[in-house]
Amino acid sequence: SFTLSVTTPITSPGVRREGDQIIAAKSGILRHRPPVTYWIDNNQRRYVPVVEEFVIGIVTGKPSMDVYRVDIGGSMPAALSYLNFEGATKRNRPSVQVGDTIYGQLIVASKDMEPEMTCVTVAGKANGMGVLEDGLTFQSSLGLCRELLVAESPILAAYGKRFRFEITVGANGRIWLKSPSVSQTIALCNSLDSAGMLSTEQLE
Amino acid sequence: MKDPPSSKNERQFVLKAIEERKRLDGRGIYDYREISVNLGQERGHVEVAIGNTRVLCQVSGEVVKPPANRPTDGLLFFNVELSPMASASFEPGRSSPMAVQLSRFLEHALKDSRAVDTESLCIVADEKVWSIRVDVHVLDHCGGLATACSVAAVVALSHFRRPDVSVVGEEVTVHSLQDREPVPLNIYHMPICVVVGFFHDGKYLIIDPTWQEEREMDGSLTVGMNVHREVCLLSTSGKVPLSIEQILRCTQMASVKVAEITELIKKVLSGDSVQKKATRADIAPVGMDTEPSTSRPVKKKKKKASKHADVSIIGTNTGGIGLGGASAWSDGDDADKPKAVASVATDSDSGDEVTMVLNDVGFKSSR
Repeated sequence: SFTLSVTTPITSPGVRREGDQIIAAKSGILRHRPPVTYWIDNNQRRYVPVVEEFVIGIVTGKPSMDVYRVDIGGSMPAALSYLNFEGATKRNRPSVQVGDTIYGQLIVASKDMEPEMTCVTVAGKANGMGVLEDGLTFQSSLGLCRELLVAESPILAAYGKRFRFEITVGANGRIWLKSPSVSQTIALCNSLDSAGMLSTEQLE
Repeated sequence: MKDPPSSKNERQFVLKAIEERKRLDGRGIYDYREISVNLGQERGHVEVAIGNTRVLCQVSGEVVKPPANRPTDGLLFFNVELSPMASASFEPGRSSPMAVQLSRFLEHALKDSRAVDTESLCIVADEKVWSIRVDVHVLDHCGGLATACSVAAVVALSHFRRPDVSVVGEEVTVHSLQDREPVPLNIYHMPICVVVGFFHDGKYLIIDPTWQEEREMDGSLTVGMNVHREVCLLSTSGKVPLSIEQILRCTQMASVKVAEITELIKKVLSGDSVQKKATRADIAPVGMDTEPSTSRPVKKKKKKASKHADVSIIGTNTGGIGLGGASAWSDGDDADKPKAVASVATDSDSGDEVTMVLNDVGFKSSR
């Protein structure tokens, strides 16, 4: 912990203020952006739902009152209304079954309420959201997912040069990967897990 | 809390991979994950890791009165605890069917097959016997628990030493660990459980399924065998009917695996006994690929005798090396002073050579 003379309250990932001191609340690397922004890059596997994040979920419950229950790895399953799909109307229901993998966006996520998600943008377009067919979903750490989600992530660039594959990264630590052959998918999944630790040269 | 559910994609992918004879972590279908056995400082403490699956086993013993129907046999209890840190689906509170099943596996494989000699655990018939308790704690569940638990139990039982007991007429003396070297249990054979998973209604099989594969498998067969090709345990689960040829084939594959695993166990235990004679340092874990001889300070006995030649004999059964030793206080009382206590025992194999055996009494070696 160190002392900063600030008067405004500080809200930062992994950092907490107690009186005059800033205390680390999570383990990780302390980062600083001048003038006064400090945060901790924390790598954990347990996801806490946050609004507007894109997540990968698995449908666990049949629609009750036309709402699917989707497990996103948080403490409660998210609610996904069947109307929140592209082109869905009361008469034209989406073909979503229990066990399907869904990529969607969280529209409600607070610690007091059950999270809700949607598979359409405000304008009604899917934009890649919806059911993910085939491929393999696996669990990894949140830190790795954040690295992959960076625009022009070096990891994905390095992989993309050598392999052909389709990847969807959920902010909840889940990664969906699809590639032409089974062995390639397995190899990519296993190596991605440890790729987060490598520097750029090692990736090459 | 429950595990995250298995999605359709995952199930499809695993089944497709099995059809192409591929495993999720790149193994072959008959390959075991890397097994590492880590002996603890205390006797009877061992940690076993198979890939990411980790279990911890502790063996302990106490003197109890035997039940009336078996007055001359010692008692042997097996208990498997599924810790909630092992998997999200394990809840605290013991009545989980999987925990009971694993405990029963160990009982069948180790107790009913007479792997441990219980008759030698009798002290005074009908009055005092040793009750040996094997506690296995599952720390991380990534599949293959039956193998991990059986390996841990077998190694811990072989590693364990019980206090020596002498019976003179009516008097029973349980010697403390300082007085007399503790005695190992009689282990006749080492049964190891091998898990085989079946897919596509028994058409494909894999050995040592991981947690994801266990979720998708149609059935499983657990074979408990020892290195002498004696089957100690056979247990099936799931919904696959197995033919006789399949079971025989599985036992044959299991015998190969059991031989490899027993080889590893023997390496670990022999490395440890040499280690214990040379120093009391921490014991490094031995995996399936390491050679113990390169990492252990294996000393020849003659060299050891000369190294510890500066032993000063203080009294009967008491010697001192380095600091400590005879009391420097004027009272001359020898109550609780941190003395280095070493007992000198003669190795029966090599006549006049002396084996130094150091007991665990806060000993600081003068290296």
